[in-house]
Amino acid sequence: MSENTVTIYIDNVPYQVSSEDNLLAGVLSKKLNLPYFCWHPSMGSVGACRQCAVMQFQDEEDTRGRMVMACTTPVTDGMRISIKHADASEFREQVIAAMMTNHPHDCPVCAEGGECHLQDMTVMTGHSVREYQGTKRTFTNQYLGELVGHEMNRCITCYRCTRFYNDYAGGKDFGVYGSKNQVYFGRQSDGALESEFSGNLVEVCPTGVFTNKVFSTHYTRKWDLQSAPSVCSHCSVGCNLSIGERYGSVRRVMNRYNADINGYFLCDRGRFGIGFVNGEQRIRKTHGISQQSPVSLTKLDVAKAFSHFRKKTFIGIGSARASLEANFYLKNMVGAEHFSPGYNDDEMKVAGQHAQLLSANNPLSLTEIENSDCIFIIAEDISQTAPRMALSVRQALRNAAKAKAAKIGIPSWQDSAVRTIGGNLLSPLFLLQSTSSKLDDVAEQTLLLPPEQISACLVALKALLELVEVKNNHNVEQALADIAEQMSLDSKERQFVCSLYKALHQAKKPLIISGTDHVSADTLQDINNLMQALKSKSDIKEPALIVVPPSCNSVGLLSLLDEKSLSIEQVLAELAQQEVNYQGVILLEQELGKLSDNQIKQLRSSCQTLIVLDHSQHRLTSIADIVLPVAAVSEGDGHYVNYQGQAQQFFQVHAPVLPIQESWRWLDNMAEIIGVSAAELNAGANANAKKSACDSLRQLHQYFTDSLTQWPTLLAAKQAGTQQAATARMPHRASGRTAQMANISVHEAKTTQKIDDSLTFSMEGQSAGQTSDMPFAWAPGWNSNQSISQFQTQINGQLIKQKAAIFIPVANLLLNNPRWELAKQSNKVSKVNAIDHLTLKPLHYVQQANIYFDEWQAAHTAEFKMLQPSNLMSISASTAEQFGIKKGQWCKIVFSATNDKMQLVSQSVISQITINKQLPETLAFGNFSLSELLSQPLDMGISLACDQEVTDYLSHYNDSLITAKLNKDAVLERLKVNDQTIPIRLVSGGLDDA
Amino acid sequence: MNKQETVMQTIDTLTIDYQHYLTTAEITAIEHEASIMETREAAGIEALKVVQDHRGWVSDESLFAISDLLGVPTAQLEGVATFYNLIYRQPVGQYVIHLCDSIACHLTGLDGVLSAIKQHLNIEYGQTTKDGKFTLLSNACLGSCDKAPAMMIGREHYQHLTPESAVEILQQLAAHGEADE
Repeated sequence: MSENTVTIYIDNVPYQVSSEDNLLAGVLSKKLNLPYFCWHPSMGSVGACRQCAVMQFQDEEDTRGRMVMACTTPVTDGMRISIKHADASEFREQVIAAMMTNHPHDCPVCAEGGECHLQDMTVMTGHSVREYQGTKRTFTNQYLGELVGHEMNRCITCYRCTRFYNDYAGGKDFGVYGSKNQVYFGRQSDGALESEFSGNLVEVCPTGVFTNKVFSTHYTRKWDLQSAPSVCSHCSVGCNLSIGERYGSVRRVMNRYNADINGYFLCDRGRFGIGFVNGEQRIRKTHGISQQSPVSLTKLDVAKAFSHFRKKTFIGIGSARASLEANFYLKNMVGAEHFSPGYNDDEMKVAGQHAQLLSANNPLSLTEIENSDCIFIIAEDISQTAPRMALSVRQALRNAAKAKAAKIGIPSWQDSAVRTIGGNLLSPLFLLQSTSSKLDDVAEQTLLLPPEQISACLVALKALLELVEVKNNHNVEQALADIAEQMSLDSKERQFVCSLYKALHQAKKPLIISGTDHVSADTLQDINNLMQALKSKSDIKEPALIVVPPSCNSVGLLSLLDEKSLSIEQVLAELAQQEVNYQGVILLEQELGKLSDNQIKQLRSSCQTLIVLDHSQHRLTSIADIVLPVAAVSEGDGHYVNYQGQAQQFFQVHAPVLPIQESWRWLDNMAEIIGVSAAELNAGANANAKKSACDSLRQLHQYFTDSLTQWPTLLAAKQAGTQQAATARMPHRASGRTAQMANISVHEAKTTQKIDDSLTFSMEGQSAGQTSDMPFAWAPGWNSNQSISQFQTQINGQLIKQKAAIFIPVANLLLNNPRWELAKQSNKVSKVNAIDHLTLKPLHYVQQANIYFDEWQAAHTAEFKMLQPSNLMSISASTAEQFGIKKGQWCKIVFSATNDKMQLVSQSVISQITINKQLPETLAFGNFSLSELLSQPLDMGISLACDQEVTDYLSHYNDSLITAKLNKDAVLERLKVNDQTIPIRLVSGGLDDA
Repeated sequence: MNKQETVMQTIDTLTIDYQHYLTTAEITAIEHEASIMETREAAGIEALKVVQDHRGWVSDESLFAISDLLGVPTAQLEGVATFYNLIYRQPVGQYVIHLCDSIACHLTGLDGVLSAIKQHLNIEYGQTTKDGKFTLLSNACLGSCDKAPAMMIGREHYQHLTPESAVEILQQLAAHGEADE
């Protein structure tokens, strides 16, 4: 609780509440029931719905009182209010009655029914009789894309959707239309919602106007869902999710509150990307293992298949999307000198720099980002690669307006007042990048540069910082002019660096964000140097630094890398040399997406045995000798480590159909035969004395702690505190539990026996709120996710039962290997000089990041494939003029380059063109990928496409959309058939358990 | 599936060019309004009025062109256009009759006036006469409760209406045009 607490009297009972928030927040923080609609803990108050009316009294003598809206009333010391007062109570009931005149009461067919805030509030006010007899206004619903459904008739006009979509998340394609009793919330015309955060409308909307379309098509009530706490597997932010399943298939993802990370909101990749779990591309059978029994695969079968690999040497390739446990186990099985993260040489260098930056700078949590007052983002489109972080950046930019409002006494929770006083005032955001991004509209300055030139600006800024103290603005410009001369910066770049310098100078909490996916190791090193320079400046506050890696467990994998770790090039070379007698390669959830087809062929031909553990098909699963189907995130237990180094556990939502099991279980089965590399074992533990199989994650951790040297520094601390009574995965109201398998047998089936210690597959156990890992949010009277206020210490505070976060140490051991060191910085400036972009005019094409398709797992989701946009490329105004192209025209673009064998490679693309005035003429970006054979920079020719070419392209494009649609339908049909023969397992362990 | 057509026909702010849709006079007038406002988006309502003055109504194309010119999202412009009842998002006749249907007008004989107008023009609320002269709309309140029933056509208010006077006004307009235009 914050230090500023005061005493208020609610119905004559004294309570201690925070004086910094409004009265409604104070009331809710005391777990009292007061209905509300328009107020949202993260979006503040606007006083639109008039639902939270309470009576306020002057003093103890005052019996008359006056009605106030709790959400717009500040808390003052000694204030006296009444919630129970008859006038206020009746007023609240009448507000609901008025809203209900237009509400269709279609709860039985509404996806929100059973977890509807409007239902909860209606019950809370006691409005139980429908009196209105007139007609209701009706609307035509819109098609809002494949993710969010629309049913406008249910709307109660609380304005939460537009406040979230437009004001909070910066959406542009959503609005409010009409007036009076005819107010419509939606798009200007039918079409997919463009915001990366559209799925939050489902949770923000207090009733069923916006619903989860994917969930609705294969629906079950919240009370029938079996849920487990999970962690998003689609980017490195590590948002907390609650995944719900029924009858063995995953139905939906809801936000799981975490005060430090995602708060109340998720991005659409996190919410809908779970579709891959049910996808057609899943591997469900083993390949390359002969099975004795026709019924099931046994451990004995696996042992036989692996028997001739006893004590053989393998190369293990881990991955950033596999759990920490699986990667750790694999590394210890094959030995550190035979372990590879699946990165190529360039990526290894980037990893080395990343580790160095991570060990020297503590990355901020998302909540801490929201306190920053100056943000500089370098070469990473976080709005697509880590969207939830971009949402936090957006909130941080409002700090200038909040500060301005605070000066005249407006508290930050007064949302509309702060927005009015703030106008367009934003804290500074600087974007230095190669493509435009969704944050451009709130950036103070955006500089678009080809990737190679981005470093030059960083070097210039560092040089400027290292100069003697520059006090006034004139000096800064003078000093910069000299540097710019040396480094041949143009006026735009100069101006950018200059403004950035000044903004950093004024900032109290500056923040720098970059990434690892599109950034070279050299740029990361430049960022490191820049950080050093900033740290040594006494007149500039040291900025925080965040580096965003691409995958959910990138940092977990990074923590396992050391000087012996191999790159893919090294793996291929090792295999080719045959100095060590390798039995083969074990690929752990690794699709090796960046390898060319030739390299894949080379890998295949040079290794005797290729063992692939994965959940989905890819190039390698079709050529592997042994394929083992592994659990996706919802089917197993494990830990992911987010960009900060925070390790978070995801829990099994349902037991997968065997032989699918977690990677670490497969590795455990294999380790019994192949053995664990002796070098990694604890002193005292005997390499040959094989332990018994690990049945649960807890046993696995115990084995790691007892036997292996590295593990205790990673997660051992967590072990001690986890003993507690198990929590129920199902709510108390789960219906039909005893009848759900009646079409198979009328005997009541046993519930699945828990293997994990802290959650049960049943409605019996501790209620959800008794643990920090809440399977779902529910409290008496609060069936929707809004119930979370019942579990917080105070509004927007930590959960009452929150456990301390565990951070994994990352050491920069990689840089101990000279192979991953970078060339010294000294020749840098001359290198920049060497590029004479005045005469050469090389063109760089950069593919824009995309929220749906950039992450390999989520990209398998059929709904995402249906949202694939048609080709669009942005070119500079001068390029457009050169080729005589106008905005919006369909063009044929021919890219060509000379490869290292001096052959001309070319590729032509049909695309619509748009003109970006900020683009330099050496840069173009678009939403399509170019062949890897084209090396940058390249030549580009643009001409108008003829009608036939456009028609051909569009029909091809259409076909891909139709294929995706058919794919979606096929998945749905299969899932519905599955529901009839529920594949429920009685034990949630591994092979031989069922 | 005729998706192909829709792709070709979709108007899109990314690809629309306002210069193709708006006339020089319209662009000049809108730019003038934008120049005297604090932000460009504040000129949205004036821009809609400019286009309506030139074209009689605001089409989807016009809306997208204004959006492109001012850099305001179409959703926001549409919100403005649909909030104000004097911005027409569908084609209207030369004269738009805004017949007041507030309580005062109802008490003083709106029903008779309304049926007289409907009968005279042979249209219902929301319709336009075949000759394109008149469109009939209801209006929440014209603020002439002391002079009810009332209607507004163009910028002119007509008060103390009777079925006869209303029809007479329409006949005059049809014959001679509005006095102040």
